[in-house]
Amino acid sequence: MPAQFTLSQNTVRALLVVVGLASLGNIYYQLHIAPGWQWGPAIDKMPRHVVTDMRTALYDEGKADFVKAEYLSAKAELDPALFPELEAGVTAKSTLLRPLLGDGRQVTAVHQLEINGTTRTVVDIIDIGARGGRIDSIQRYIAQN
Amino acid sequence: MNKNITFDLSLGTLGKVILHFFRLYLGGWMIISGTSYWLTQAGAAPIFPQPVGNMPLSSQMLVTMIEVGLFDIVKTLEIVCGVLLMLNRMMPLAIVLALPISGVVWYNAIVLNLRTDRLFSPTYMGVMCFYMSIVLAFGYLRHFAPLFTWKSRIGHVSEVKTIFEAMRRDETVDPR
Repeated sequence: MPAQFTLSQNTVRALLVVVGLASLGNIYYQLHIAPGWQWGPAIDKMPRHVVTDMRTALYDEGKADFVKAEYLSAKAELDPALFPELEAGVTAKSTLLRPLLGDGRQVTAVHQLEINGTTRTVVDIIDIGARGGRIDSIQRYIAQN
Repeated sequence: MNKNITFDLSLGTLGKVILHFFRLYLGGWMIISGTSYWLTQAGAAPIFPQPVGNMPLSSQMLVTMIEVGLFDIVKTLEIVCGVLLMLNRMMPLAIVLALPISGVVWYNAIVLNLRTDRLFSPTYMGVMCFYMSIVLAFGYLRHFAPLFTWKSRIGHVSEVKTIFEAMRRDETVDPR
């Protein structure tokens, strides 16, 4: 006959509550604290939302340094020569010619970009990080007018 | 009244301990996952940033589900399921909610994100949530066995009352 042991119902309930709270705490720790998220305005947004907010900060508010720090990942791949508007003090105006096109984490912006009196039609293909976060790369194509 | 419960040191008892652990851990995971999403929707800081997939197909599915509002339903059901699991109430309903949600999570992790290296990783909830749901379903198999009834008769509207009868039933004292 197998060995038996006896516990009061309240002890069992208390044990289950402790295990439940420990589970919640562990999951919270694993998802919130352990990953060391670099929180910022680009995090936990949908890709088109990230690009919309980034465009507002860059083209409407002229916050180039803020955009580089908060919307571009540290290892973002882009050709700096094609992005003069990311230089501090440069005034750029952008008008979307099409609604932002989203495909998963990739967003395409077709816009008219005016910098220092020169207006060009530009297509930006923007890849957003896997956590709905900062921009990993931007490929820019400039129309030959 | 505080009753005493006698346990055998047997595989059956070990199985129940495992089922309770799975119930609590899966419930906690569902609550935190659902709550994080709704915190974002409410304009508050989330518990963790919502993953939108590493691979293109996964990203397309997740972003689309969020943008068309399907995640509102999924995350609400996750919270309902999580609370039921944590409180050990309406367990068959909780499992019926957990299985399709965790099945899609598993599909996203393995088929769309190609995380086959973690197919059986005990610390990866992207797959474990589905396995836990399946094990829990076997623990409550007697509730699901009638689903396999070969020939069923059509019921009557008066059978709605059986739902309320089930809600009043306590199998721990009345094991019918």
